[in-house]
Amino acid sequence: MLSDDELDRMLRDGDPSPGGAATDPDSPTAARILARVRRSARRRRRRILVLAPAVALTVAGVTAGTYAWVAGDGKGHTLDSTGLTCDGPDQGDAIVNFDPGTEDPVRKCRQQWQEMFGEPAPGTLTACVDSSQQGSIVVYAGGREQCGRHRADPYLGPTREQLGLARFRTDIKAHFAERTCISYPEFRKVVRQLVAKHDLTGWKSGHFQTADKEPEGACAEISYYDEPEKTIWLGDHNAGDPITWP
Amino acid sequence: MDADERGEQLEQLFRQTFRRVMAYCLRRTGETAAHDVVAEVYGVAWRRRRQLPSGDEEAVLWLLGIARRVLANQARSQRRWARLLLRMAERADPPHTGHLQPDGGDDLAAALAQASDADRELLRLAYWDDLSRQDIATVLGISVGAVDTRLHRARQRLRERLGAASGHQDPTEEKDHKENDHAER
Repeated sequence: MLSDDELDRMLRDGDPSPGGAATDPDSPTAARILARVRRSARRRRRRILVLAPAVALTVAGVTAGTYAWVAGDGKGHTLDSTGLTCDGPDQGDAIVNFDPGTEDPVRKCRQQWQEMFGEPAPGTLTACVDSSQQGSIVVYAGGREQCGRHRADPYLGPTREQLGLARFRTDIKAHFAERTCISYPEFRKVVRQLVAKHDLTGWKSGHFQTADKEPEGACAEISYYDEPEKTIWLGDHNAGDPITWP
Repeated sequence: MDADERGEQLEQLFRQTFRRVMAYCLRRTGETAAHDVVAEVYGVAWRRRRQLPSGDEEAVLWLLGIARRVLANQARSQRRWARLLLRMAERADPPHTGHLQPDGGDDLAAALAQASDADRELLRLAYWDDLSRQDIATVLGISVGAVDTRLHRARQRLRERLGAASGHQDPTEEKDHKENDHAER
């Protein structure tokens, strides 16, 4: 079985290492690409990457409705309620923290749109649950038809469990306010108490260390919430640094 | 700022960052598609230049973040195309469209091809693009702690796939299961 070092070496050796002329900014290829960018910048036109022939894509779009897809739990609920994506102009997007207990995804994106994308928010925004495995919340410019266009379902709000998780997140942040180092035992104790308080049945905490090379650190923080697995993943935190709460 | 100055600014950004942005794309897609993606990345960057970070390294990470999203859009288009081909051919298996398909007897390529998109991207950022944990967190928009956790799990899953391919049992598997069993302490 591969040791850590062997696995590391194998991964590094697997790098195709593109280099030479392919990545030379003075190569004829680079010059052609730069010329394309200049033309695009001058015309300021939106160019969307389309690899398949337009006719084929049209047919695919028409037939897309015949394929089944799962978005979140299939009922308009995301399986990742701690963040959302605001789908901005020019292929840009921004991922922001989200509290489904107190926030509305459309309002949240609208409030930050100008700052994130440098232009006013569109008149109509719609929240959808996308067709990724966990079904993330994505806010698109436009009406409800945008959900169908992106093979997504309209977002219908949080589940009861997600509301419990939202309250858990609020409480644990308030409990440890101003703290910059919380030991693992203390962290786990408070997690247990708050999991019980908010009826998060089946939820547990877990810890993964960096490639098993480091012992459990002196301070803990929450890395992320894995809602499908009902797990709160803890990771090491640097003592003295402010804690970022997901 | 006039058109000439804007052009110079664009060229300066391009020359300073092209090597890493192009390498990032070439590690993830074919050469022709990579040219399209890189052109799109700088086009997007130019339209959003007000958000361009001032530091060189931060600018590269910002561009890599754009490249990641452009590549994701490209992959979506490819998947649509593949679904169409599948439907037309009425085949049971989807056609291969990715460039990371198993290549002969290459166990690593096969294991990476079987990995989830998220695992594969994390491993490539760490081992091929050689980004620090902090830089990976910036590109992916997640915390450093989340990078640690996800990277560890991605390595574990890759090791298991490589072990399965060579017919060995992963000795760390039992340990991880125990940790999960006693995760809440």
